[in-house]
Parts: sequence; C-alpha cells; structure tokens
Amino acid sequence: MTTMQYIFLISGTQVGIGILSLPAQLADIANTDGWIAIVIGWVISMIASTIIIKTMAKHPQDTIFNLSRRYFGRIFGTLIHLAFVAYTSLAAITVVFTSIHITQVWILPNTPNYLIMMLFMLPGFLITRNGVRVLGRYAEVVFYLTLWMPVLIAVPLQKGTILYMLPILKEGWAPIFQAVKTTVLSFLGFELAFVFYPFLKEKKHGIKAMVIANSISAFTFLLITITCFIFFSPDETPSLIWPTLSLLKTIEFSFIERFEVIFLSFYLFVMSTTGIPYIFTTVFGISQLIGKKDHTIVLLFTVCIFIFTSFLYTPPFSHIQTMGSWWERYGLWGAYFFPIGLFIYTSIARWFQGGKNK
Amino acid sequence: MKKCIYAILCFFIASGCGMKTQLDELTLALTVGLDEGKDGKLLVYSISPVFNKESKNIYEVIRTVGMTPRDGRSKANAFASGKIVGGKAQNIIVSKTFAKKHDMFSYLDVFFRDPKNSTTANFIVFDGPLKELMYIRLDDKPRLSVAIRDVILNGHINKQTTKINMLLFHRLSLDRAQTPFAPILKVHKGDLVAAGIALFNRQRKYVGSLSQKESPYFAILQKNIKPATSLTLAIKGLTKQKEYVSISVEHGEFSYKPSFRNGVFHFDVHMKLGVIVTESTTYIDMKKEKKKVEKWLAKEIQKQLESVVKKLQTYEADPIGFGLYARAYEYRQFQKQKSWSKAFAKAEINIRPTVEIISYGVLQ
Repeated sequence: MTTMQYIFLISGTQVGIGILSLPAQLADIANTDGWIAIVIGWVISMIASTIIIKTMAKHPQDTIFNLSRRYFGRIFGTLIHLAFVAYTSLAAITVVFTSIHITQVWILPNTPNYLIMMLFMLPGFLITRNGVRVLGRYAEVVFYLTLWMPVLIAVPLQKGTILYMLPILKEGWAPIFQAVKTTVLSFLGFELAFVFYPFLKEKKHGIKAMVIANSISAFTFLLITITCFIFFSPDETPSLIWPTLSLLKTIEFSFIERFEVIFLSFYLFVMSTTGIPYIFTTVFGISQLIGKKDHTIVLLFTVCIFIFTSFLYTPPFSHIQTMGSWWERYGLWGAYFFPIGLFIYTSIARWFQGGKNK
Repeated sequence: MKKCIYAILCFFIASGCGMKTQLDELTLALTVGLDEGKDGKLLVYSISPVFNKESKNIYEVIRTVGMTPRDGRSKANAFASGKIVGGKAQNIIVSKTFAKKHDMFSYLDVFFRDPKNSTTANFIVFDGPLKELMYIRLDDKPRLSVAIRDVILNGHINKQTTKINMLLFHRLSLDRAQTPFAPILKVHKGDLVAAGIALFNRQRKYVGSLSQKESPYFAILQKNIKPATSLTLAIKGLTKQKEYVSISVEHGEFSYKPSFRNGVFHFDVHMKLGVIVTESTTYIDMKKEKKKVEKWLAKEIQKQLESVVKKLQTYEADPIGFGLYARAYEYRQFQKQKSWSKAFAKAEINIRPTVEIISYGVLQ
C-alpha cells in the first residue's frame, strides 16, 4: 500500500457517519465554541496515533493480532485479539445500521431494511474480499470522487451570519473541555493503523501519514461544524439531529430540489470507506484467530449474517443511538487508553529483554 | 460469475419500476394555507395544479378541517384526484387571525420534521380570511400558486414587502436573540397585493405589522439594500410648500455598536448611504446646495427609521436582529436578561444616517 492510499484509508475511516451529527452534539455542549474542541481533539488524536505507530514500528511486520500474542502470551494475547475483533465488529455494525437508517429517513423511506442491506453488502463484499491493497485503492478513488463535496457545503456559508460565532469563549473553557470528549471520538478510525501499518510500503512515512490523515479529517470536521454554526442560529443547531443534511436541504437550483438526496447518495461512498475497513478488520481478525489464511469464507459468512439479521431486525433510532454510545465508550478505551498502555508495556518489556541479551 | 452479478444488478435496478409514480397522477400541493374555522378548528387549504386537458380549471383547491396540517392533508387525500405530495410546496400561507391566536412555530412543525418537505417554501401571512384568497379568480395571471410567489418575490426585490422561507422562519423562531417576520399578502379589489410586513413576538404569535411605506426602511435596517431601495421623502423648508424628493439608495455601510449602561442596552447605529436623486418636485440647485440636501435627506431618513424601530420596540419584536449584536459583544449582560424582547423594548437605539448623493440624474 502506498503512503497516499494509507492516508486516505485512515482519514476515510475517520470521516463517516459521525460528521453528520457532530455539529449538533458540539453545539449542545459548548454552543458555538465547539470548534475549539475539534482543534483540541485533533491534537489528542495525533498524539494517540503517533503512539500507535511508535508501538507498531518496533515490529514492522506484525499486526496487532501478532503483536498481542508476541507480548502477552497465548491466553492473554488471544483475549486482546478477541477484544479488538469485538470492538471493530461493534463499529462495523454501528456504521452499517446507521447508514441504512439515514438512507431510509432521507432517501428511501419505503424501501425495506434488508434490500438496502443487500445493496450495501454486495460492493462491500467485492472490495473486502481482495484485501488491504484494494481497500487502499478504493479509499483513494473515493477521496477524489468526493472532493467536490466540501465545496458544496461551503455554498450556504455566503448566507451565514458570522455574528453567531461571537463572542469566542462564551462560557470559558469548561464546556469546551467537556466537548473534547465528543470530538476525540469523532476521530475514531486511526486505531485501525494497528492492522494497516504492516501493509504500508514505506514505513518511515508512518507518523507523517497519520498526521496528514488526522489533519484531513480535522479540516473536514472544522469546515462542516463552522458552516453549521454560522448558518444555523446557536439555539437552533442542537434541535437538529443531522444538521449537516439540513444544511444541504437549503441548496436549491431551479432544475433540482432536495439536493441533500444527491449529496447523501454520494455520501454513501464516504460511509462505505468507514464501514468497509471495520468489516475487513473484523473478518481479518477472525480468520487469523481460526488460522485461515484466506478470509473470503469468513467474509461470506459475515455478510450472510448481516443480511440475515436485517431480515429479522430493523433497529429503531434509539437502538442506533445506543449502539453509537457503546462504540464510543469502547472506542475511548480501544483507541486512546489501550495504545498508551500497550506502548508503555512494550517499551518496558523490550527494555527487560534488551537487558537479558546483554 | 461476472455475468451472474450483472444479471443480479439489473434485477436490482428494475425493482424501482414497480412503485413508479407519474407526475399527472399526483396532486402536488404547491401552496398550503392554514386558517381558523368555526369552533377554533383548523382549516387546511391546498392548491395544486391540474395536468389534464379535459378539466376546465388549471388548478384545484382542496379545503379540509383537521387538527394539524398533516391531519388535514391525510383527510384531503379523500378529495384529491391523486396522491397528495407536499414536498413541492412553494408557499405556506396563514391567515392573520390564525397567526394572532396560535404559536405559528408549533403548527408548522411538520414542514421541518418531515425531511420530504421543502424548507425553501415562502412563509406568508394573509390579511383576511383565507377563502378570499383561495377562491379568487385571476384571469390575467398564471396559476394561483405561481402568482402568489411572483407577487411576494417582486415585492421583496422592490422592498415593498419582505420574504422569508421556512428555514429562516425556523432559525428566527428558535433563536433567543431574534424574532420572526413575514410578508403580508392581501386581496384588494380582486387583485393580489403585497401589503407590508407582519411581526411576530417571542411566542411566535402575530403582534403587529409594518405598512408598505415602512417596508423599505425595514429593508435598510436589515442591511438589505441591493439592488436598490427607492424612497420618496417629503421635504419642507426648502420652499414653503410641501415638496417631494425621491431617491434611490444604491449602497450602504453599516455599523451597529451595542453597549450596556445603567441597566439598558444602547445601540449606536451608523449608516452611510449612497443615493441617487431620481425625482424632485421642486427646483434644487444641486451644485450649490448638495451638502444641505444631503443633510435634509439624512434627517428625514433618520426620522423614518426611528419610527420603525420605535414600532418594533412597542411590539417587543426584534426581526432586525439587534439581539445578535448584543449577544456577540455584550454576552454577559445578554445572558442575564430573562427575555431579550423585554430588554429590546427598553433599549435605547440611536440611528445616525449620513447620506451621500452620488448623482442626480441628467438634469442640473
């Protein structure tokens, strides 16, 4: 995988469903000062991803699954392996069901759950089957395909009122720090470097690539959040569930209405670059666990489970919110505390081993 | 394998054809009207175009009685010749008496909550019972929905009224620092007329209106001057009689400076207006008296603007958004106010316009 593909794969995973609701969540906690929290979250996520790369660079050919076994022995290693797979599968489930829910609310209110699931899973299967290299290519293509979207989002900016942003630091720093917890979670996705780093061709660019990927995501978050804050009045933003989409509703040309439908249809690409890496990691992790080299069978099995579930279960919005909050709670541990702990542990372990060798 | 996938894909594409809807089978509600009927019930009107060569009318009006707009629409499905689609609405009209009694925002909830509905529809207040408008016969005009829209948009461009779409109405309704407004439409001798601006209070109830004559000044306060705002001012003092001068305001620079002293908000509003003199009923020696005329014009404009602001203050309505400035620059004091409308009513607002004559036409 080239460095570019790696960057787009990571930032593609970060920018996904969260961004559609992020402005409302931030406005709820920190009013229009929420954008400062994004900047702080950006710094924190960069630190965390640097720590991940530093850890992974010690054994450049190992994924997290090999690494956990190498350091924690068979039993604990397998437990960590399982926990990581559980985490990514939770993320995959959340992303898939949220995407379906949003598609149903905004575009296809009469189409049943399972039909959309099948339509999602077909390309998902074809891409995931081919492994990391195709994932990287896909992420790059999607990035170029969606470059026009931020431009479009900036269109409503002309009609905005910059006065809404003032004064900066309305209530001091306290609400901003509270909001950091939300923004930190919207950067989730970089923890997949645990799996993708070994596939990176030029390892020396590892940290640089993470910084760039995080910056692309941070820029996207900032653009959308500030646009929403300027466009909607401060008391209005928290009343919307998906302010980003409500924003797009206002764009109207004489020949086309409900522009958000077109936007959202394209946005399915962006959501797929969030969902597919998580599905891949889950499948990859499971096949490593059972000692299979080829992950196609596990993937086929997973896709079948997804489709089968969608026949039986149509999650209401409250369940999707619960899923999201689980992912966030788990993600805070998986992507921030776990890497730091792992880094400290591996450093100490290596130091001891180094001592032995001498 | 590949052929198989293509075949499946074609199957998926074709699945949409089963649920197709043809345009002429739909009833597109282009205008939705809300009025109060007898016993406080809600009357829901909808105007939709008829695409049928055999029918005599080019649009149909459906009236139903319901509890809410959506309820009314459901009932209207029983009358309509096709499935009613609300997403194409261009005008949402409420009658003045209805707007006076009810919180408009809560009645309009369906237009914001259902993503299928368009948020760019114009919100309009109608002066009088809505049936006057709905069953009007305009033989020399296009379809009623289009005619209504044209009157409002044209009135907005010429500053005879204003316009507001549902999205802006939503924003102003929810913001603590502002209140919504809307254009007023009325029927005068069988014709549609734009008639000034309706003002709403914090509870989103209709409280009063600005006349058509005050509309351009409202536009100036909103910094909405482009393409040009024309004013006709009465000038005394030049000669002994009452004379009139018409000007067209071409551009303006504005500054709103809020401050908080002795428990009230103060606003210093400075505006620099560049005007073109388009008409004068008396002879003015423009070369010599330019400065003097500029001062007169400024004074007259100030008088008018102040009376508009005074009116807004008595209604406790802040559609201009003075509250935005207060919140942005005097946040602490703004937060302390229980209700911004009350604080706005007490605020002292000094308006200091200066006028610069850019040109006075082709006459001396």
